[in-house]
Amino acid sequence: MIVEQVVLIIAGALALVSALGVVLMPNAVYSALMLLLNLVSLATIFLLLHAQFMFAAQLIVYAGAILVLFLFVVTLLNPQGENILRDKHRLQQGGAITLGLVLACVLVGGLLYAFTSGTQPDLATSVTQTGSTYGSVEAFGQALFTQFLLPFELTSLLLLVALIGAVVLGKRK
Amino acid sequence: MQWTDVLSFVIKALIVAGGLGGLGLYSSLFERKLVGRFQNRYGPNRVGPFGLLQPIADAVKLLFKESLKPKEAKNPIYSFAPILALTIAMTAYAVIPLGPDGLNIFGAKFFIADVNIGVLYILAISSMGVYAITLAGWSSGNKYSLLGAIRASAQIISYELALGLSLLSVIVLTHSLRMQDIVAAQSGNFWNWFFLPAIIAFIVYCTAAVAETNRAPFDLPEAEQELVAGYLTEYSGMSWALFFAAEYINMITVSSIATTMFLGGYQPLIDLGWGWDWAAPLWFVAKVSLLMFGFVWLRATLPRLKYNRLMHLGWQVLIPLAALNLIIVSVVVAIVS
Repeated sequence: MIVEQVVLIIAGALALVSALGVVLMPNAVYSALMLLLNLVSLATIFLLLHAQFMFAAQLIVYAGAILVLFLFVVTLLNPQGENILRDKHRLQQGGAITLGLVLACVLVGGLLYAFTSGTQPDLATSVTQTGSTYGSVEAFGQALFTQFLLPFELTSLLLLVALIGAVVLGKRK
Repeated sequence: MQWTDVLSFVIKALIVAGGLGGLGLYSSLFERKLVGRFQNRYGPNRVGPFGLLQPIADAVKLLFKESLKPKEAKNPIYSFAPILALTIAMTAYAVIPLGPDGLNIFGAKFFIADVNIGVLYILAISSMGVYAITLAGWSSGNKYSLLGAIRASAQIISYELALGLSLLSVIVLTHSLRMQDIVAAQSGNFWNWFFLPAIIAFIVYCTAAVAETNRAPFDLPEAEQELVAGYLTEYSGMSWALFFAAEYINMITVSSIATTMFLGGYQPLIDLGWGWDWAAPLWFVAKVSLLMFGFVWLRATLPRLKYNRLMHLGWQVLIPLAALNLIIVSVVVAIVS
């Protein structure tokens, strides 16, 4: 178990540091790269939790497609770019900080509740004992197409609407 | 998992990385020799017997060349991009089996990792390859580099879809994402290989693979006449050599994936029965070499596509074809089973 713990600590630390980097980096391209590091660290943590499909989806969809698009736009439109993120939007900054704190409170509260109520899954034993099918592609697919069929289909509808919207915007001269 | 397992993984990974590096070097000789023959000349034949030491001479020359860095280059990324390119090119090899489960040398099997999500892993790693090119182009601080990088990323993202869709057909046929299962499902004689039931997927995969590796006739990111050398323009010496090696290793990797998914992996052409297991890696190498020959043949034969034709081919021909094949294969599998 010790190897997994070491990897988990490294990946977790990297995820935290890179998440801070996304916000604090002066240049948008470096922010995007920090986001890449963050996504890869999270994917590693998914893998350690035996969520194999989440690992692959995280890399293929987020790191491999969405972030490439971010980087694509940022590198193309941001040649001098040092100051573009330094614009002071007081209201926006205040709102971001407030909402961030609220989210942090919810997260910490949830964790505290889970730890004190005594129902928290013991990570070390649950991962080793649930066997290899837990979190596998088969289990994920089964759950997606039976238990969560309706949300899944609704999401596909949402994506279709976004796609049509993009085509309409692109065609309008 | 114990630390000894980690050690064994590290040793295997080093062997594969070293082997791929050497093979990458020698595929450049393979290509130059073949292109020479295609163009009715000898190709390199001065360094060593039959020019066999040419790649080593090239590598030594590049090692001692000065790595110039333009004033406009954004440094940590400019130096990091070639390393990233090579790393990603090699990483996909971790799940490709070169031999069956039973075959080993001193207890070491012919693959690094045998994971349940082999195909997804390969797709995940290959989708990261675009970063090296984008970052190289952006950090060079040169218009041609940036244009080349943008072309490259648009091209790679477009063809990745066709690539993934074509691999899905094979997954439907085997009901597994494990590379060993996929190879085992193609055992027997060559008419059991998946390039026959999934022939459209095989063709789509090969086309998309050429585009993914930025090779002719899809080498628009480095089109000399328009973009000097695209994202490679500002690189020189060893950092250029890393990109160069990454391109050849990428060729080897996509050929190996095609071999594993469609050409039966390490399985022999016809079933030779027991006692021939040791030949499995040789069959694998032979099939990969055949595909590599195809790469060179294409480069020597076809002119470069125009950019709009490239996009048209990717989005309006390959993706519908791959989807069609997927539907046909799924329906047939559903009816049969």
